Amino acid sequence: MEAFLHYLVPLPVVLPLFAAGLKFALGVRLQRLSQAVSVVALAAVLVIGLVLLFGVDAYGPQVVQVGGWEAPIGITLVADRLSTLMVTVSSAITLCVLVYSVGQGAADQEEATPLAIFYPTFLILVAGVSNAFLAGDLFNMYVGFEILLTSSYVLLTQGGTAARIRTGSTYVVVSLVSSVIFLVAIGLIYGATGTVNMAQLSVRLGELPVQLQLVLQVMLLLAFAIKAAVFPLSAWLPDSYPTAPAPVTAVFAGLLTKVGVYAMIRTQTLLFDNDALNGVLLWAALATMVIGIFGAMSQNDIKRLLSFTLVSHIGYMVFGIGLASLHGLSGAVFYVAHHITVQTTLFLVTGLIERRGGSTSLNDLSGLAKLSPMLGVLFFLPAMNLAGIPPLSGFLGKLGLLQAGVREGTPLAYLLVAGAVLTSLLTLFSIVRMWNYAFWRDPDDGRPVALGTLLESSEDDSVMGPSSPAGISVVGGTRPPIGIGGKAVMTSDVFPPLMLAATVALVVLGVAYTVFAGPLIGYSEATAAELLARTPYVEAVFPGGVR
Amino acid sequence: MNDTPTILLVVVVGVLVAAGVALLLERSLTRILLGVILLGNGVNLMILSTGGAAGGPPLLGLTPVEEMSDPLPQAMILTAIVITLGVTAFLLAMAYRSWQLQGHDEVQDDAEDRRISTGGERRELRRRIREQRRGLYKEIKAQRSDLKARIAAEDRREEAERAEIREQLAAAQRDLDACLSDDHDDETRQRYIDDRTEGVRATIEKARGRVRASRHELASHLRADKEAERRQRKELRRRIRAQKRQVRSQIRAERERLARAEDSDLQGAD
Repeated sequence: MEAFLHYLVPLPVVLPLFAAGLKFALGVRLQRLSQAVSVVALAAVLVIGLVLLFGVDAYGPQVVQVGGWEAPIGITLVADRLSTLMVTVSSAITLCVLVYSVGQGAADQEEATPLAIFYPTFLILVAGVSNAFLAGDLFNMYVGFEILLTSSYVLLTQGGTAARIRTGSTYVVVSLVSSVIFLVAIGLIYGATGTVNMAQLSVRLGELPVQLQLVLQVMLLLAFAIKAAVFPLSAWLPDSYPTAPAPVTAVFAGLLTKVGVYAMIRTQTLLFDNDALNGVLLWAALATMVIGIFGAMSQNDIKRLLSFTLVSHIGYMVFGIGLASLHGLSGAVFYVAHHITVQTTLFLVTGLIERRGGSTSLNDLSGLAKLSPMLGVLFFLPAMNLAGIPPLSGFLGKLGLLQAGVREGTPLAYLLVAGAVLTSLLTLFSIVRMWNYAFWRDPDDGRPVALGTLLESSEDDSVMGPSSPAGISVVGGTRPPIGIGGKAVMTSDVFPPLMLAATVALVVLGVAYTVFAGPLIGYSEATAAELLARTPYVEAVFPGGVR
Repeated sequence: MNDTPTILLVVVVGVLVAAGVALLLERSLTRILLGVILLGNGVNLMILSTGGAAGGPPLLGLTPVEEMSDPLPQAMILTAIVITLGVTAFLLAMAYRSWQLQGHDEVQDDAEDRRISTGGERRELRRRIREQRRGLYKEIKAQRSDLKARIAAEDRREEAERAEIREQLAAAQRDLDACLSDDHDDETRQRYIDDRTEGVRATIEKARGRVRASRHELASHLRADKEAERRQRKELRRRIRAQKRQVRSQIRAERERLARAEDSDLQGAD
């Protein structure tokens, strides 16, 4: 078993890429087969992830030297506890999101053209995410980032509507800047140490002068903090995510920021063995939490509100990273896994709300609890999980971080603990506000949820020609929900079964974190120990010792 | 092998990156694109310079190992060039689409900026209203203190009149007493008393009339003042309402424009 385990390591990258190529080859002719290909590929990645999860836990980090070139010459893929956990969680949620989008695409009966791009791009995004998680050298991580970013550009501007182009341009430019900073950092690190292999860097970076180390560390953290949306660098996120189609927003919100968080964890544990920047990180975490949640409180649109809570909760993970203790890191790792799932679920549920209520604005939604109790349950569970109501996993994750903060015992750590509690309360406030407006308000108070309103507007489109802006109903200043391909969709009181199934699966997964919290926390503590020890990673890459 | 890169490369990197950053700060997507290209080239050259001074081609058997230039930066640059190429193509497509939809390729303000700017209008209105109200209160206060002074003056005058009446009464009493103590006959006395009484009554009547008139004047003055105040308040309320209505319609128009701009999925799709 152990001897074959490492052959699985490249598969999370290779399988989705292969499936994407296959889908392009199949074209639009064999729709069902082509959809089966993507679902099977991602399901296989999930299984591989699970196998690796148990394998890595039992036998230590698994390493593949691509092409048989030994490190540090060749490309190295490393699956240690952290990267395997990330790959597994990400494959679980990307599978659910894929199923959801298949359901949505089928329900909206959009033309084949945008969707023929959508699914392969989505698979490439998954490959990029896996590559970033598994990369054993900085440059390969950069390539992973670029793969996922480039496909995210395509997904975000899918359909090329004006709103998506507007938000897409901000997103693309900001991402480009962060990529350039990352690339410069890699160039400088190579110039200073003569390697980009992370295991080798963990030794060689420590030999550099302290000031130089600090410059390199700041550059890397800056690049990753833009991707993770840490406070002063987070303004792009709440603006660019909400216009994308629901499945895209879900996977972006859940995964892409966490890739940044993952890279920050790697930088702070494996590459740089100093605590010079921990104080800065803690302050950034405090600002991210508090300012993010203040933003969420003033929003009136569910998607924007959730985007702001996303920013705010990134602060919790940065808090754990900044503590840099065993408990802090383990709390951060657990929180990452929990948050990926919960945030994705909430955005998928928002997609369902949009289908039922015809809007995501709290001004327009009302009485959903009466109209669709199912939707109420699906929203309530992850929302309470996000706010951290006991006994759900959000509570456990926050509790772990708070305990780590108290254990640290410095005034700054106590300040962070207070900020985290405040943020949690304000998150609850924002969620209760959403709940009261969209679900509990008397249906007569808001704009009545009229089924088929948007049906009319789409009819207008066909009558008046596609160039007529009159087709877009500006009723109450809201926009009609827009499908993956950029066309307005209709409201309906029956959810497409695949969309519903995917959402239910994610809600169940979120609850499962609570049920299996014991083993999960044990695993994240083992992860943190492995990260802090550094030797398991380095020895797995260089069995004969680092030269 | 020499590890130091040439100064020329470093200078070129600096110029490219500086120009790239300057272009990146522009609003037009095309300029941003040019900035990205310059920046990318600058960074690529920087990676090249990390390989040290140029050596021979890194091919075994062709160049002695010590004279080879470092091949790894070149491989990395190749990858980076491909990535920049892809991103450039994408940005070009986006700039073109933006031009198609809006007639320009400028990056627009985000939603929060717009909310803040419409919020700014509201704040301005609120400030103006506060200022007007404060002005009105000041005016009313001045009027009130004026009124108070007037009332006090009237009070003083009334008091003086009363004192005068008392004085005259006392004088009449004194006269009467003097007359009574004199040895006149009853008839003369009676006539005298009647005379005096008549004179005093007339004087008192006159003083009372003055007091009444001044009271009346004061009351009418008070009424007029109150009326003016009410009118002023009404006028202020009307003005505030009008302003609010105007700003609200402005905001609505702006929102509609934005919604149209955001929703023009289909504009220019032809």
